[in-house]
Amino acid sequence: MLDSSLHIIRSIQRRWTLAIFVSHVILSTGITLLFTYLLHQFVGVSFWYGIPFLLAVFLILCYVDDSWRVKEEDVARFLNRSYPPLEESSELLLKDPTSLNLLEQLQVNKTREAIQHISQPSLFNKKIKVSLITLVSTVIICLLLSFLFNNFQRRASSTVVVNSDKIMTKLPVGVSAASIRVTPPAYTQKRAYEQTTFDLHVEEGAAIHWRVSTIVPVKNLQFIYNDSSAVSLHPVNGEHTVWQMDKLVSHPGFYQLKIDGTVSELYKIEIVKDFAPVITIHSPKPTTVIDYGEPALVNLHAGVTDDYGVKDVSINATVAKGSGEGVKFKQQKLSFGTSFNSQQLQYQLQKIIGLPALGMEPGDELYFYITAIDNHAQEKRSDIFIVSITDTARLMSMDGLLNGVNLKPDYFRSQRQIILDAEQLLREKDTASAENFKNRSNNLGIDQKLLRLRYGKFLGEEASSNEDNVGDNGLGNPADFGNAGVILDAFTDHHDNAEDATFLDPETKKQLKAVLTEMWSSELQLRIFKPQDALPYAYKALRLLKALQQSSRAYVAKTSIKTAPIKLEKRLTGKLEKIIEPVTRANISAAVKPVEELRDALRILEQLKTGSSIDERSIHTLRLAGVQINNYAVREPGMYLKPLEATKRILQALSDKHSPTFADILLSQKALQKMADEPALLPSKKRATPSLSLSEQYFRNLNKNKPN
Amino acid sequence: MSAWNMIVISMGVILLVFLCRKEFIRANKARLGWRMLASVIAVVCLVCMGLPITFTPPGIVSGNKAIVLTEGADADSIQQFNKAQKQKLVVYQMDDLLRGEHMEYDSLHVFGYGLSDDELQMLKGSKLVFHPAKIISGITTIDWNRNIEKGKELLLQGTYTNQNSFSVVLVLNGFNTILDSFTVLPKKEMDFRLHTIPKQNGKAVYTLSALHEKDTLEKEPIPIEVIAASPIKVLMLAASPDFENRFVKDWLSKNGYTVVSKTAISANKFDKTSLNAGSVSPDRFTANLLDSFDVLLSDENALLSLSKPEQENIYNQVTRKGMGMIIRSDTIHSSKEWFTAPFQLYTWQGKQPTHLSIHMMNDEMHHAVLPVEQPLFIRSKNGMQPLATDSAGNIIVGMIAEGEGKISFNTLYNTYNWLLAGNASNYYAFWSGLLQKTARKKKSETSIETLLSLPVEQQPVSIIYGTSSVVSPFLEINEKKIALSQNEHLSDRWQGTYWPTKPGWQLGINAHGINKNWYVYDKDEWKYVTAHKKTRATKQYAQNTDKNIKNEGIEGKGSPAAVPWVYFFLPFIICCGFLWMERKIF
Repeated sequence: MLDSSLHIIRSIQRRWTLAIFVSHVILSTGITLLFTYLLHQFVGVSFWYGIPFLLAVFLILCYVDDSWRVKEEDVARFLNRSYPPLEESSELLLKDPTSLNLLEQLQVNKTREAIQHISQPSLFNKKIKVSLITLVSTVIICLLLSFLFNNFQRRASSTVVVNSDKIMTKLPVGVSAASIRVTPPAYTQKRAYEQTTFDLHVEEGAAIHWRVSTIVPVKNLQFIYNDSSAVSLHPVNGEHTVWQMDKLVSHPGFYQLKIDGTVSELYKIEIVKDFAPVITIHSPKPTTVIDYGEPALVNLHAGVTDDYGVKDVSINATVAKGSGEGVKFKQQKLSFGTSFNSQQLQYQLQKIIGLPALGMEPGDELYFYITAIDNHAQEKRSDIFIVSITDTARLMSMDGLLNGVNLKPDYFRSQRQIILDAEQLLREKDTASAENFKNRSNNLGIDQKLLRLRYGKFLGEEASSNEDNVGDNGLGNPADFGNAGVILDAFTDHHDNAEDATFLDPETKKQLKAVLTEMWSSELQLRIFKPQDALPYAYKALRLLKALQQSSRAYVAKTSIKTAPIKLEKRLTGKLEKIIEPVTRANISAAVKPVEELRDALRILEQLKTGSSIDERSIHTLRLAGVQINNYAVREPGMYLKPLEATKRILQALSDKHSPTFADILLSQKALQKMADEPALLPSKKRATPSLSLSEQYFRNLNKNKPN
Repeated sequence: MSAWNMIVISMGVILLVFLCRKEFIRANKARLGWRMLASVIAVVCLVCMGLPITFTPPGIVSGNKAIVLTEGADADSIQQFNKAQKQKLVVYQMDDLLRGEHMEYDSLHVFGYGLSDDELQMLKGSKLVFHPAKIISGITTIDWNRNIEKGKELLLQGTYTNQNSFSVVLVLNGFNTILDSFTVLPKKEMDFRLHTIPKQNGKAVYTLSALHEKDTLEKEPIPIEVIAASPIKVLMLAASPDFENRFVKDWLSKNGYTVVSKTAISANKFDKTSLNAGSVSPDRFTANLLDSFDVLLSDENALLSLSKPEQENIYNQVTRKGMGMIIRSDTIHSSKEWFTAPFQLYTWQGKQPTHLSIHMMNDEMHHAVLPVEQPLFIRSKNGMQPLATDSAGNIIVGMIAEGEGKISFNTLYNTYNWLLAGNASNYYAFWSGLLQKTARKKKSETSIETLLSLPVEQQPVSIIYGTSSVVSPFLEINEKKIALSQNEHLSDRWQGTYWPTKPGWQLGINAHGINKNWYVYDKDEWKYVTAHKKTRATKQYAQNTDKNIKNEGIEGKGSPAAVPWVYFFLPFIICCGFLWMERKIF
């Protein structure tokens, strides 16, 4: 009994100690996690260092917080506090039973009873819970931090990538440091910058300043451009370890550094060209016709962009007056009224050009284009746009009618007459009474309608409308009593009368329909007493009719001169004895084209791939191909510099009797494949299968019996 | 039961009765039982010797099955098969099978891609049930032109099986450059076609890869060889100078071809040009002169104005010696002459188109548009091969065979417009095709062919050697002499076998001065092509054997064999010996 109660106390003691240890472990894990993460993030320490750190934290925790040293008395005290049924007597259980007095013994018995029934204390879990919460929160903090860092790094990396060339550089042997200062030309509006790599990717016309420090003093330091020209650098200090040079770069190519006879690898010079400005015109259309009544304005809307800045944009306008041989041109330069001082990359420009302000009258034409100049003084012109104002006076002329017109009745006078009358009406508007004005306008509308109906007849439309003579339709004639035909005739329209459909071709009909539409609109305006508004439609109708008339003009081809008939018997009978026959003899040897060297080089490299050896001639061909790669590299170093180096390495390896590397062969082949063009097709003799003696004999015998 | 059997058996019974009675009535009754037994055995054996006794060979038991594993076999499907059969069958590898262990089984269940033709032949008609393994993703058929004339296209055609759920991109790669590609859709078997014009001279190995994103599913070599064109010698004859002839002349001569032309410029006055032809002069068209040319380009009028013997010479050259003739149509078309008779011309009815769309029937189809007015067309007839047609199929250039040679008739007169308009490739294609098809063929004494399209290392390759010479042929491969056997039907065909030892370009096949390059593939290359071929062969075999067995009507049983009479003779002698000795000894 006693043992079991002691056992209970000891087990509680053990669990207490364990709980404290567990909470310490969790807490120290949390602390370690946070610290190692921070160290890893900033100093780059490996996560493996977390293990010793964890141990250390744990030991420190155990040392500082020594509550894990739980004694039996502590447990007893704890039990006393937590479980009232024990009546503060659990210590008695720990005492030697023999040393207890009677009262104590009685109490001990009671407590023993009580201790059997106590529930498992849940108090220890509290500490673990607190530690767990700490651990979870550190994990969350770490995750948040890593998310933030990653984001930051990603943003930073986009800028870092650009600079990475500058930072990571492979300096040639013997060079301790190099700084290259690139001053872009003024038009780029870019600041000068420095780089430490020798590969150049600069704007056209940039000034480059090289400053090269060597490890040991050297006698001579040179740049070799495009494998041909050499330029020496100037020593800056007396020891001849720092050298410098300035150069304006305007052509692509490559260069090498030559230090006392030792040549470095190849570095490319790539040039960024300045492009001419780009002009896009949104309005007007390439050709615009301004009809009578329309505002004589051109709304010009254009966009200009350039890669470094637009310096100026202007409009070049040419007005053409007159016709035939009396055409006069007047040139003017118009500005957009926008300041281009800021030299932005992009401008959206708008201008309304008043045509009368340019001195334009009906019948004149305006040609204009836009010129844009960028800050590198490169000029670009847009296409030419044409705006014309219709000449109403010309439409009134009778010239066209005097010439032969086929299949067109002379209906033009009527439309012209309506316009003239309408204009007359407008002039007399102030003097005439309102009633009179309206009457005349309506009458004009009726005229217009009649004219329209007349044209409609050509298209086979309804020939007349009965609305005006409803009252007098002859229906009262008693002789017609019971004649349904007369009534139908009086009250219906005559549509699609085949007799009326004339023999006009579809194109003319289409144009006629367009005329009719304009006439409809004109009539409408006249009928609602607005002759002013009717005029544009009337003019357009007239213009279209005029076009119709022009298109149907008949032309007669010019006749040619007559020649005397040939006397056939005399043909080719001239004496030709003294004429010497021309004889041409030539041996045009198919010149070995440079591209053939590339083709051969491809084959030779393929041979090298398999590891077989090649002869001197092949090496010579490879060398020639190398020269061609060199020429390409001068023009496009970005593309061909690496293959050029690879080819040089291959040639070097061959002369050293090594086998070249596979990667070099591939690089070189890729460039050659790109450089060589597809061979042109040439006829080639086909190979016959070896002739069978049997079949040949058969063929001969077959032929024998064939009559010739 | 035949009469013979009846006679033998009844004689035997009579003999047995007689002998038994004799033994029974003998005074000395000792060993009666033994004697009786010996008599019976002796008689039975005697009868058996007289009867045609047959037996079904032991071992072939109906329903005895075995499994054969070939490449691509899948353990799961075998397990499934075993489960369905409710027994575990004996599993053989391919090699065991070929050693002859299949003899005990009457049906073989083959799993995997199957067996090749050679291997199937070794099975000697055993019944075979094929459970083909599916090819999940791979190139199953492939072919391409291995020897390409310079300027011609490399054309790869084949089939790709893609059972994956993703699409596969086939990429033709040459010299580290992507030349062409094709996308195979998921869960589809698609025919693909890739082409490019090779830029190198001589041999090269391109690669064909199947890619899925960044993974390479398959990568196979495409060995090709670009051969230089062998020039054609051209003789030109014209009744008047014109641009068409001039452009052809310039183009060919600039490329080093021999061109000799004779153009009438006035009455009996000719402009004679010899380019790259040495001292050859086209004064008269003698047989000697014509011998040295492969093709004659002429118009009708010029041919007609030649003298009779010259015309005769041309006729003989074409019909007997295979010279080609390209004739341009003329305004004076006569259908009487031997060279124009087969070509009946007609014009387009109705409105003339301003442009003619031309389809050239070369090795590769080529389409081009030529501005041409009032084109003439050739009426199609038997034996005429159209070399160029318009989009409606009307023949513009036609060719017929005349004796050994060919005659082409060309109705176009302004193909140089292509050159002027910068469409040089159309011009080259047209004239290359026309000249090549018509010109005299290069006589070759020998031909070498390998029978396999994809020879693999460590496997035999049959080489067919054709020669018109009667000298005993000599063939060397990789500097090793090959023994040749003559074909039993064709006296000029010889065959030999070679075992290539290592993959890649071989040193070549040498025979009487000609050399043919060839390529041997690694065992792992074109895996699915061989697998596909094996599957097809095995399926065919399984079908055929199935049919055979059904026809014979003895499904699953071996044929019966006669029992050798020795087996009966020995006991007969022993028994007789016993009966004889018994009386002597005892």
